[in-house]
Amino acid sequence: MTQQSDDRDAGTIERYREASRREGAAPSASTRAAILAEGRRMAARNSGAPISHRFGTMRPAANRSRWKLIAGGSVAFAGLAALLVLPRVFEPSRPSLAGSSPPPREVVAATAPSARPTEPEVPLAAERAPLPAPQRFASSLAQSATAQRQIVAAASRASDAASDAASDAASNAASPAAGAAAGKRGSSLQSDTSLWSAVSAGDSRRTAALLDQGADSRQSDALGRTPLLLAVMQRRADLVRLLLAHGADPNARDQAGETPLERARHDGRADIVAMLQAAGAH
Amino acid sequence: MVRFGRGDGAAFETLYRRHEARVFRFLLRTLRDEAGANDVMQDVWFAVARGADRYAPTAKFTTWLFTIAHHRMVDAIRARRPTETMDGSAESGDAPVLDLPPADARTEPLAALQREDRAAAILRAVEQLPAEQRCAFLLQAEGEMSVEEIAAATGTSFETVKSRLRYARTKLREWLTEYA
Repeated sequence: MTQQSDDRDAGTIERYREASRREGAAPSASTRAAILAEGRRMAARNSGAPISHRFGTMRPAANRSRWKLIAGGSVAFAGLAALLVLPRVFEPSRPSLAGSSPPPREVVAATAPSARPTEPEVPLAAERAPLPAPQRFASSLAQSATAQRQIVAAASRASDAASDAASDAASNAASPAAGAAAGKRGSSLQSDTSLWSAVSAGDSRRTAALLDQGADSRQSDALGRTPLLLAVMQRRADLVRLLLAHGADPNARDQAGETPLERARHDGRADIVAMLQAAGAH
Repeated sequence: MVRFGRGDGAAFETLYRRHEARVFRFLLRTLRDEAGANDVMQDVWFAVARGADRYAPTAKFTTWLFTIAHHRMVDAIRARRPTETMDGSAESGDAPVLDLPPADARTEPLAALQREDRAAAILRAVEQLPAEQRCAFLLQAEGEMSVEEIAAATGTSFETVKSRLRYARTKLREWLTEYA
């Protein structure tokens, strides 16, 4: 009796669900747009990144992460330069060797340790008359010029690396060669998660570089979304074309059962629909 | 939801598209007003987007979502006309917001059933259920919530919810049997 009642109840609920689904009631387009916009806004806020960085609907007016890194690098460089120069100004016993002296000991040690034994002997400070302070300063500047050039190069490299890793926009601005180099720098950038991340950021250069390096375009995230589905969700025809050209599965479904083709149709993107169908989507 | 909380906007869109229809149907059938359902729909999802940091991954997402939807729906009814229930009757004293509907000859379920096809008939029949029973039924049918979860979401006892669901399903069965 109870079993029969439960069955009838389940039947009633199922009939309601079927009828309800068939009716196809849906919120208005403006409601949906407002909700999704709010979701994007809050996602950007949750990630702590500027809105434009997260969703590529517009280019950033200024790459804040980049200028902060450059400014930080400049300050660090100035500090290093000051550490190298100031002791020479205020240390009277240091020899004045403009034009003939070897590079500073630290740099030599770092760059060409084997050359050190063959370098000429540095005359003792006591054998030379000390120069006046202004001349010592000028001499010290000239002496450390080589070191400074090397520091500048190192700081520039470090700044570029930090900028590329810190911001998608920074990698957009970099050259394709730099993008490829960035891909080689960290092993994480060669992973499939990185491909997903590049597509998520709408970064076509990084996506292309990773695909060229052999990243698997068929891998999906925890929600079952492939990079291709994500590209369709972002309405990025260029990324869709790129991923399909590298063998992305046009019929892969996410956990909600949605395919890229269904999403493109839902969004009314005829160009993406055509691309997917040409690639075998059904 | 966890991914969205970490800043993944696409995860929110996936989540929204997955649950959009069910939440909207719940609101539409409880409020019986499309414009109002759209307003509350927006309100609900804004609350979801803004409350991602409060979501505990141990809780079932649909339970959390439909609890918010129920609360916002009740808020909307209260805000609409503080002295009226969602069924249009005058609210007296501390009567519940979701009160029983007055009998209306024009919307008699059987009459509706006789005019409409079978699929539409069950929808109309649900809309004719007393508000509290309708709400509990919809939370179960659309939100896939258990009796315990409905009781927690609506702030009523387990037995009360069980009773409302039993009456609702019995009534629907009777109407549909008569229609068939």
